[in-house]
Amino acid sequence: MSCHELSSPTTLGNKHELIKVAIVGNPNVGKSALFNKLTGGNAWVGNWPGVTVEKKTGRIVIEGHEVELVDLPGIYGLTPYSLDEVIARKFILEERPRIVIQVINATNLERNLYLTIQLLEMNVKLIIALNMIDLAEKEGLEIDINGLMNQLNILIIPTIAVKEVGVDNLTKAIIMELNSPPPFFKINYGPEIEEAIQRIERILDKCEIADVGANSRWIAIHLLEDDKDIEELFRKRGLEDVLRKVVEIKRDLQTRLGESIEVLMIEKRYQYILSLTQKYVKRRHVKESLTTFTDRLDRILTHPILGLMIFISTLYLLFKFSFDVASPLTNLLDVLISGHVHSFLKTLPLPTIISSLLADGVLQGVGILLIFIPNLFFLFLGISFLEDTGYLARVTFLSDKWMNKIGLSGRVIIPLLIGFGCNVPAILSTRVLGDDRDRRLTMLIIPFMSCSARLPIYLLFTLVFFKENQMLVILSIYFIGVTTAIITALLFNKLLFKGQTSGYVMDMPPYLIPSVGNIFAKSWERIKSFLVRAGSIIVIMMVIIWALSIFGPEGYLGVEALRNPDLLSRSWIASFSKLIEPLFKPFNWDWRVISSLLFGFVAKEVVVSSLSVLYNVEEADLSTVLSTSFTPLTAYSLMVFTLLYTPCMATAATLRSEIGLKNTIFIIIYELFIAYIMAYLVLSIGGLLL
Amino acid sequence: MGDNSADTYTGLFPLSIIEEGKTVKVVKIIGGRGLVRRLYEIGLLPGAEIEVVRNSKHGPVIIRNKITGTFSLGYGVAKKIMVEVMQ
Amino acid sequence: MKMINYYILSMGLTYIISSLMFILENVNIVKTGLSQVTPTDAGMALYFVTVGTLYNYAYFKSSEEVFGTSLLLASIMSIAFMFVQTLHYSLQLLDLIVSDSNIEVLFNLMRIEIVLGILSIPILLKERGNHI
Repeated sequence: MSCHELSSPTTLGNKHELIKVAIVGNPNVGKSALFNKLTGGNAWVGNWPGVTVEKKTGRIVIEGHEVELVDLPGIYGLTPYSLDEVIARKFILEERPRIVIQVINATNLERNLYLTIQLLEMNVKLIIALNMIDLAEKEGLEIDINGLMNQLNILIIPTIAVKEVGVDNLTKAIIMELNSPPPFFKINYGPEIEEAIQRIERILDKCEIADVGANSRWIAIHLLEDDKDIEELFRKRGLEDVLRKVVEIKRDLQTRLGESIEVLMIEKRYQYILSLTQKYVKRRHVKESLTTFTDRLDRILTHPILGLMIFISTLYLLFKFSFDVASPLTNLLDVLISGHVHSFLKTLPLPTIISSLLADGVLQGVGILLIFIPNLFFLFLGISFLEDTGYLARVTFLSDKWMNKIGLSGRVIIPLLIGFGCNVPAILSTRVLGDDRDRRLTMLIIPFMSCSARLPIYLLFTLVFFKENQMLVILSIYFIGVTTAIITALLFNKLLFKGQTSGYVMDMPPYLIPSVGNIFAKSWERIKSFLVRAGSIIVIMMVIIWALSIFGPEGYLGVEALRNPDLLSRSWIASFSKLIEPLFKPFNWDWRVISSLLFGFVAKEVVVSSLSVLYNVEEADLSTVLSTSFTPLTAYSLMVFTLLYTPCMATAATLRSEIGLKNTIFIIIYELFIAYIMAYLVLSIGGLLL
Repeated sequence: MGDNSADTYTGLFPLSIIEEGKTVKVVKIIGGRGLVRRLYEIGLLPGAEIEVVRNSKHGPVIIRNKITGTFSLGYGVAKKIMVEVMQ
Repeated sequence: MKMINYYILSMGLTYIISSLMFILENVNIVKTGLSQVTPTDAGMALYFVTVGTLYNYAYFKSSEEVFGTSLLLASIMSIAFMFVQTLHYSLQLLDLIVSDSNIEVLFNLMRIEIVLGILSIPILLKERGNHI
């Protein structure tokens, strides 16, 4: 008896059972849009077990069946390359969803069908959502859906995700598929390979690998293709002798074929796909197809000079959009929170310590978060818009040449751009990078991208000391950040990450007009990931700092400490700052500045509000006080220090979950060190010049 | 390196130095297993014909495969794909 | 047909001249005092140069295929900038309610990038019809 059956086909149709459905597909096929339409926005984001990649899940009820939809990261085949792809494959293999929906881009059937073939070989119950069917028609493609459906023996539902066409049919198809038997599918790989597959299958039939989650033919095929994960699995089970026999069969086959087994097998799959498309797809010639339109745009947009000019201009507009448009809203929120809500909380009939906890601790933290949101939201709207038009793929292309010079691939540009908004989603977005080395190096330099939280600090100081050239000085700070990032990348290239980036492989999607709903959904998702990760940390840290400010070595100081600098100077925070004050002797910063920098570790723009508390003035009058205790030079060195000194709490927490505590601590220490050196350099070089 | 005219292309070249508009045949791909496999799966198998749509010389390239579509390959990848130029 | 070409040329030249004026002002050669028609910062000046180049490129390549594409991109960029600026200045009006900022922001709605953006709309509409 074979010891590796598919998941047992019992209890079908049991209405109380939760039916797991996975949604897979190549990148750029409209998978997320379809997922959002299927779940009606009713999705939540969790983590995949063991790793920290977000898992998007949504639950819907179809005809009384409870269905759990899981959105898997985009994949080209079942051989994983990036972290995202490892997860997609693991889910299909190990969690055995009852049904898999593959979203296919109808304009590029051949490449998409490659994944279909691989899924069918696994004998999963597959439904195909033939997406962007309208675009395919415009391209002059006529797809005989019925013919393809009969040939492959699976359901194919034409959809247009952005217009919500075909979504109902898709949910009906899920129910229809529930009780049907899994498809039987086989590609003939030719006599030599088939014989090898059978030999391996016979060996497998004698062993215990029941829970690999696939049939023995599939395992045999993947062993022939050197699938490292499967080999690893066998080793873990102590089945080395099986592997040894497989190696022998492979060697035997190799000599008979004279060519790479792997290449031949992939070729066979493509040959099969071509035989399908020749039969079921007709191509009409159209005058103005999407491809020719895209090609024409690309002639300018990827042009070495014009393309670069447009890229930089687009970047400029992106940042203008996110900062200028958001700033009136940020002001409005600021007035509301620190003004109205704050005084309202203070008037509540509560014990002073409680109302202070709410107003000065919790509300302060919530306020920080809310004030970020307009800024971040507009940046993410812009980035999502560019992403959905297809332009970001060109940006990757344009920047690859430059990124290569610092040992990174062009793909890194997108996380770095997001970093100017907020470092947290920037670090999360490195997951799409195929190369672990690129990923680590990028995470190391992301904190040097001056996020929007640091801008209020520059604004305050430049307003006081560099009124004439405010924009120029702020720009120079951003520039120092980028330069430090470049130096860091070069340095670590030499020291730790030997060698070059392995580069990127990316599909160039056609230019499309994006759907507004999808852009908003995407931006909201990114904002949410920031809120979820940063939110609780910032609020908790604000409460801790609040507590450290109203308590001191001598005990409870009273909530007045927050408004009274004499009391505050006896708090724990002040004591600690005074303790490390000698370290900052060269900068001439007193304990108040150091305290506010400590506060700034929570979220950098807190530096401003805490300075105003420590100097016991309203934020509006802070400039007068600062002009007496700083010179333009020391102010500039402080700005440089706040730019570089450490990733904020939320970023550190995200780093920790991505690359572990040890690496995070290393990054924090490295960045503190760099900040110290750079601030010192500013002081001494500036001192020489002035 | 960059001044190869059409007639001087004989033998194997890395994709990264091929001029725009040329059609080439993939001969072999050097590199890590994950990368090689990825390239195979998007149709860059040995023997496949591809068109160089855009080449920024010492930078990335954009290629087109009739079957699998248009791809952008980073410089690091383009260097590792050895091709021969057709006619 | 000729009319359209002149229209395109004058759009392109306006963008270029405007950014040239910005440069001249900033190296203190001339003080034009026409802040309404010059870019407000270096990034914007570069943006103007890019859009201007695309318009002029279209004019000089009017017999070639790239003509339409260049025009399409120029008009999209021009309108995008108008969109961002209009949104920005309109929201600033909102700020007037809560703070004491100046009513002068209203005049910003008549700045050059907004005017040029509006003038680009017919070009986009025409090109869009030709393309998709």
